[in-house]
Amino acid sequence: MLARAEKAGKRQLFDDEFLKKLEYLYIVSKKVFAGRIRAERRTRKVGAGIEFADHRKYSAGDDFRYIDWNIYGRLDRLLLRLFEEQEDLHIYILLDASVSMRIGDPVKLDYASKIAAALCYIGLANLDRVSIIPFSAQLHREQLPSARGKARIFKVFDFLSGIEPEGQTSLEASLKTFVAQTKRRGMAVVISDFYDPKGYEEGLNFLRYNKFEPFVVQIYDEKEVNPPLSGDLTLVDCETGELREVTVSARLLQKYREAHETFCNELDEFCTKRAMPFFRTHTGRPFDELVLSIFRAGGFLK
Amino acid sequence: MSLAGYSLATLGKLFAAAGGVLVVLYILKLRRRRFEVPFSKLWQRVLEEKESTSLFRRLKRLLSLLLQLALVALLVLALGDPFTGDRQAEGRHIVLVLDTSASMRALDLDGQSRFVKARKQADELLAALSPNDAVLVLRTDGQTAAPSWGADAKQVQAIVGSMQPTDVPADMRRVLRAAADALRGRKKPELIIIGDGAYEQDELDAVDWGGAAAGAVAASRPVTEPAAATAGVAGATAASKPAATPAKRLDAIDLGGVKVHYLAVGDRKDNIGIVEFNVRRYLANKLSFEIFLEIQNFSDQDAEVQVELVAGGETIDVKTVSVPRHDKVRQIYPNRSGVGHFLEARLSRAPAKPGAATNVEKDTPLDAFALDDRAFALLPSRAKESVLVVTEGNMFLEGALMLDENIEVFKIEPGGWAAAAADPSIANFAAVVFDGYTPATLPARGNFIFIAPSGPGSPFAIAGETERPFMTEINKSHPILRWVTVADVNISRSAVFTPGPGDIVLASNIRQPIMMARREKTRRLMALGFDVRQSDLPMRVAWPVLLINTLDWFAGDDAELMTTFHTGKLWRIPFDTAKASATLVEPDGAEVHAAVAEGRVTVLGRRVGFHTVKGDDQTPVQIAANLADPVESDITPHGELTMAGVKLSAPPPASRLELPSAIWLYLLLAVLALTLVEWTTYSRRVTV
Repeated sequence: MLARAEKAGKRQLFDDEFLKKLEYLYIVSKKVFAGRIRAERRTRKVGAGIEFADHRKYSAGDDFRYIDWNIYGRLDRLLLRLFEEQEDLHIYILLDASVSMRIGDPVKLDYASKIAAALCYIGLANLDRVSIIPFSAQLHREQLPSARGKARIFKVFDFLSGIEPEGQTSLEASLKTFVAQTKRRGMAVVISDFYDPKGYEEGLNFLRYNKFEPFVVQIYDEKEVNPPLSGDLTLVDCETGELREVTVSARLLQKYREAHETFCNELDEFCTKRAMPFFRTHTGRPFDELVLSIFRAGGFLK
Repeated sequence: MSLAGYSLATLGKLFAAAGGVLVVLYILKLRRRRFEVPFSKLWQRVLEEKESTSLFRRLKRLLSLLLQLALVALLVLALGDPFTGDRQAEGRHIVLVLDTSASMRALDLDGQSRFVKARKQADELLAALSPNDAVLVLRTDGQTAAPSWGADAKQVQAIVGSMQPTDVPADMRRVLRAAADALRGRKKPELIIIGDGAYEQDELDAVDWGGAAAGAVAASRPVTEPAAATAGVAGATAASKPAATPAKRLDAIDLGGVKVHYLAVGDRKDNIGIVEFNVRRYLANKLSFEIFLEIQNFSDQDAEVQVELVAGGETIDVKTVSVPRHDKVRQIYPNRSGVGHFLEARLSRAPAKPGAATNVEKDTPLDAFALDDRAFALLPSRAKESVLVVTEGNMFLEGALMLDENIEVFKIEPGGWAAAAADPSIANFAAVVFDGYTPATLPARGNFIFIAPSGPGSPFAIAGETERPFMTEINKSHPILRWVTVADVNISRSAVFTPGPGDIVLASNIRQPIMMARREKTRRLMALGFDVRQSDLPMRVAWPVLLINTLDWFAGDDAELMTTFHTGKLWRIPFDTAKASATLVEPDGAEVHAAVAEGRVTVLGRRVGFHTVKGDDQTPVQIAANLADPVESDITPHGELTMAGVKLSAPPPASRLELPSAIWLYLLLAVLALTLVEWTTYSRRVTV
């Protein structure tokens, strides 16, 4: 696998050791949700399934076969029985591949790729349909089409290794395009630093409004919180190229840390209020630890 | 405030230029480091808050600029070397006299020599001087230790550090004259003397404090008379002047307007020393000699000392001598002979008497001052002399020469002179006496006595002849006529000489020279114009003495009493050389080049001991030198010094602790302080 990545001039992110960790994570995920039956992960889509889900008012044109006559007999109201539609779960990994993701030690994009690979592996192993969509100002042309089965994990590795960061971050534009292009709803895991000058709110809301289940993972580097800066500097925005002259003092650094913390808290609050699972991590944290915390928090494994 | 450096206009231009450059540099933005950040919007948020106080920030920037302009202004002002009106830029001119006389070799109670202490005091004094002061260091022999005035304290300290005590007595007259010359016309003149005060009082009293200027001098120190001290400046000056000197001395040393201070050193005064040591040959027997020794006790107690005489390295006499306190004892050692030429007298502690208890160790020095415990003398070498007499026979002449047992007389007839003159051995004779015979030519070297010369071969031109002459004019100062009475000698007739250039007339008969002498480069001549047999001179004692004197003059031994030389004096050592200079080798091997004039080497004597005078074409001559100065041997320290009726005081302590008056120094310190403030505020981001 490494040799193949080297030949293609791609980043070397995944090795056998990484694969072993993924396998371990999969076993752990099974323990966490023991007793569940394979391939029975369902969407929230209500349709022609067997299992009762809910009632709704009858409206003209509805199939008479689904009218709950018992209710009609007792309450004299026409209510329609709804069943959960059983189908394969679609997991969309939306991976931020903007220029700001190339910063960090390790590079944020590499870290994000590992998380994406881990989540993909779990999804593939559960026979879910997993696809990876890199984005920056727009969705990247290179996307991993929907795949299923553990055997496809190498294709995932190969794809993730080949992603090159480019462009500015525009969550709104990217996610709108994603929603427009994707007919089948499912879980949308957004892995990003969320450094979008126009804000992240619109994009995430758009996912929600269109019946996707947003799953937010924010990644940052420690040096972004505590930049090793002092004296007179010209700050260059790596995405916009915007220049800003600043004389960095200890006080200013403290204010910056506070501002960064506020930014992260705002994102956390935004997601929590809208029932979107939110995870924040820095690149120094082992990725498997983060994946386990995602498992424990629930939502990803149903 | 005035400026001693650049003018105000120049400083203004300098400040304008430097300040302009500073402002331009300040306006120009610094090339900042670039740093890539992932999300500049966060920084924007922070900076927006900070920029709400941008007015204050601009003010801080302005403060920083003003601070730097203040730095430039201070530096430019420092270049101007400002000084205040009450503190003149000119410093004092100080002549520092460091006593290097022999008495400074005396050891004090703590075992240190006085000179070491004096040097330390001078060092401390120099360290406390203001940077504007200029110092000239003089030794007590009147010589300067450095060629010029020194303003660099370290340099002057190094000069003082290299000074050493000498063997010469202090010559305060010369020192004070040199100091007065050096300080004349200088601003704020001061004279500081550091020593033990063992100086001749009359030398100190040669000082003249001047008229009005003396007021300033006397005001700086207390005066001897208490009444005068309260009588105001002018009164103090007048009272301090010796009343017995109404007229100004011609040789007075003018120290008017000069502040004179004295720093005393020394605490011991016990000294017994040799103040005179001489040797002389007997006139009748020059192989024998007698020695004269004088010892003086300067302490307050009677003392017994052991006197040891050493000749040629061998002790020839040892005796114990009692010397009462403050008294002298003279010792004469007669009829000494048969020993070497180098004589030395040594004083040491007298051995304890049998049974007497003593707690003094044998090798303990006799006293505090060791230099005068030894004295040196030199006996001129004396060997038997051969004299050739060219005569047809003259009993009076031969008999007179034979009286001296050190003279061996050889006689030849005048006819044999030509052969003898051709013989190289003729040079071995101490003298050749021509009695009634005048050779046509003389050898190039040698000493010759002519008795009644005649004809053209006469060494002195003969003008004529005189009957029954008397010696009316006699050159008694000449060595040939020393101890000789010839005024009443009866002479039948005599030739009259015509003196030529360089001729010495020894005796004349009413301006008619009848006895002559001449000194040439390689010859010495003496002539009597009459035949001694035609006079009563041979009947007189003067006759053999005259001959011996002549032979001594030929030998260069013109001083029967061969006195030893004294250090600190100008030595005029007889030394026959054709060269213009000779070398004096001192006892420690040091060589001093000295000029030769009129057959004498002239040099200032510095060391005690045996010296050798060397020349290229002359046999070396040896001499002995002693301190032999009772004033210098009296090492009693003088805590106070009175100079021409004015008691000298120590330098005021305030002047030692005076802070540097250079304002530029404080300006630079202010620059340093401001730089520290700027650096601190910058590093703490107060002014950025």
